[in-house]
Amino acid sequence: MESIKTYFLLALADLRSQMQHKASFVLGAVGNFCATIIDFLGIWTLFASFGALDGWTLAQIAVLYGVINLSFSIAEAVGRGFDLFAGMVKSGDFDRVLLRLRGTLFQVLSSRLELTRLGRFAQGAGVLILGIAAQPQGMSAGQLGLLLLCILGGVALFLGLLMMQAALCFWTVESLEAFNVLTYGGVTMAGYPLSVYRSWFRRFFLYVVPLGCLNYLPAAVLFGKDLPYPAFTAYLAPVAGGLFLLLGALVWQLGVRHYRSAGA
Amino acid sequence: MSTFRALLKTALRQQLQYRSAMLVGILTQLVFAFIYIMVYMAYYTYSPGAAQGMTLSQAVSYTWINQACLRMMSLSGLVEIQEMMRDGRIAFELARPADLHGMWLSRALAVRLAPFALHAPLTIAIGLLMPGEMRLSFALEVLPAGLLSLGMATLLSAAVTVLMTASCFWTIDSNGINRLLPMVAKVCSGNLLPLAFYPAGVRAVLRALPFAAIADAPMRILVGACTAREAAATLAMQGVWLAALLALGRVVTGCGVRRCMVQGG
Repeated sequence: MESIKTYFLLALADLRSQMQHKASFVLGAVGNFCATIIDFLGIWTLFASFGALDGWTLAQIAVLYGVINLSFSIAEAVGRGFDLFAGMVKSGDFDRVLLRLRGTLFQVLSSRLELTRLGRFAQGAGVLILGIAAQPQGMSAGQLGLLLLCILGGVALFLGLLMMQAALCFWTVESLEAFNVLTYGGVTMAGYPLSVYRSWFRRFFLYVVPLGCLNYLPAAVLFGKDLPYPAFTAYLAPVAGGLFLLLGALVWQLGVRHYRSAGA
Repeated sequence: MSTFRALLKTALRQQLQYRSAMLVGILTQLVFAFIYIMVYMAYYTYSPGAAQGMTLSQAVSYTWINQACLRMMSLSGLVEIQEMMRDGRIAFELARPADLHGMWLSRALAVRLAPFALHAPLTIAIGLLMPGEMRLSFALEVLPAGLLSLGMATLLSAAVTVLMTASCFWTIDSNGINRLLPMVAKVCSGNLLPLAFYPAGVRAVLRALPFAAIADAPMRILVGACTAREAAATLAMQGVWLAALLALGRVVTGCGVRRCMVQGG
């Protein structure tokens, strides 16, 4: 409880400092919105000329796209501290983090709340709502609850990825962009049903980085697609995100033990 | 010419400093190429013949070339020069014994060519070696036209880079143009999707714009998604835009220098 209060205290302080430059913030958020909505325009254009994709309608794809974009935008906004962590290691500022009485994960998490990601959030939410509204049979409260669970699981998974990326800084501060393949690449990949990909690709995103568990499997069951798995897996699948977050935290703890200061 | 050679050598050396970043860049290109190719394959399987003017094999090849040339076709100002304008070091740049527009054009070309020279060969080679439907194949009979078009696209991209850089003589801040134009270009150039997938009316407008001349034009010719007559028309269109943008760049740079105020002190 205490931690949550402290987190909001720190996040609000960070927000106040970002709001000192309101125009810059608004432009940043609008830019983020435009840069990300482009991807859905692309999907829409393809549907306009091809009609359907592997038996999925545009409204169903919109749900896939909305869920993954909402997840990523929240994780990006909250986990921005991990994204900027290389700077903390290079400058030696992490030494100060180690001296304080709070856990390291908590401190890095609360070091930054990037609100310009509202842009991606807004377009993801818009696409998801339109997608849900366009379902011919409508959606029950239970189904909407499952989607909420998926979004939460997705946030956890992307946070886990960001943690691993940051933890890598304890060994090297080079080529961290490699993780962008998994984050940005993952968001693009998960905007389409997993069934369109080759089996090796599918397996990677089900069992290694289980993004497919967070939108494809549940959505496939919701929309009555043929799956080689029993239906109850749809409700278990979002748990994969939580497990991945735990893995990220473990890697982080391993890294902290490996840390040697570079600062003076 | 010697200015260009020196700048290209510097740009190449700079790129080679970050070898692991280069490998990561290639990996990213491969992953995105795989995603888009598999998605297109699915679209074509479920509604074959829906996209006019482009076969699956051509769309696959288009995607490979698009990913391999991404850095060459991307638009952004010369960041170091834009910074110089802000902090006043532009005075050094103005004092160099070379024609400013020519020098910036060389610099822009070098910045576009260096990553291309280091990234593209491996991506193209992997594309050529892929099995079955995922293979990259060039339209060999029009290959010279395609390469000529690619060369013009590179020059065009450099010409736009110079214009974006020079715009900072007026705006000082480079954030706006450096963020806005790439977004527009992504949609209009064929970078997001082959222009063949757009509705016919939109496609006709976009194909006449300079954005298409930078990406869609060479890729369409290279994969053989147009007739010889269309290829000739496309080359002519590129030539017109190139002449226009180079001339505009020259005028704008000249005007900019005249009103340039050296910042800082």
